[in-house]
Amino acid sequence: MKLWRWLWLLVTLGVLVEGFHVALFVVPPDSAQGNVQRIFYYHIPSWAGMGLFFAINLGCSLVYLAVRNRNHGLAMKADSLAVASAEMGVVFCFIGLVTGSLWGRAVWGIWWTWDARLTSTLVLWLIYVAYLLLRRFAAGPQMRTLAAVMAIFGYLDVPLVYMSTRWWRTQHPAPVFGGAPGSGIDPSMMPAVWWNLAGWLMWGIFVASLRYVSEYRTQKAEQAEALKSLEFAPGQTQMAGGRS
Amino acid sequence: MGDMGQRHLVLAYAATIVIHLAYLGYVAVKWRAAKSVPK
Repeated sequence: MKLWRWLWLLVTLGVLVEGFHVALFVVPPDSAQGNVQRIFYYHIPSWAGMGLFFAINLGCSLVYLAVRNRNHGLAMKADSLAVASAEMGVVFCFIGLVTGSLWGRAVWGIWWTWDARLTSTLVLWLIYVAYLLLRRFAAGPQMRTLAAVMAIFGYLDVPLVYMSTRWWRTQHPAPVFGGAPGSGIDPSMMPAVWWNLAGWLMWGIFVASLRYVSEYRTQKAEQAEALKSLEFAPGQTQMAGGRS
Repeated sequence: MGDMGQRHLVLAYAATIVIHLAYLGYVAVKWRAAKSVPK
């Protein structure tokens, strides 16, 4: 692992430790919910991470479709980053669902309800799990193109998830940030949001970069292997032609 | 801390960390496998 990655990891761990400390021991508890509201400081970064990495996946899928027949090197990089970002997005989405469910159990008394926000988020998670399963089990040269198309259609659910609490009446709380006038949290709680937002996004970038490198290297090796067998094939054809 | 939901708070933080570490483990396996592939 390169030096800059170790440095990035070191800074990330520092920010995460500080975020943990601020979230649990520095900012005041919520006046209505008490300490269980502190789940919010890990819940929000999960959705931010999901939004970031699914957007990267969308961008990479578009780039892949645009250049796959013209610039094979760039297409391979875009496809590798698409895999890495989809996996990271699925991890963040899953954590968002788990932490939300735990909060719901404590505050609502139920683990789950089929309201628009929760259902559309679960569907989003399933779409990207299906995307990863397609990449894992489908074979053939069209697999990457199919996956890229699926990623574009899958992303259509992201704005739906975001807007669901604005468009429909849901059990899920109204938007905390960017919601109706008077929404938001007390300024004294914001340090916990910022530290954890920064820390978990930095963590996501670190892990996704590792995954990108390994995927790119594997794809490059597979391509070299395929080219080697192609180089061998014309000789065989020639020999067969010579004999006939 | 000592009010309602403290157990859920601990579980939420623990679940977040465990899921991230589990995925990091998967990425580490992929990283090692890719390292062993000849360039």
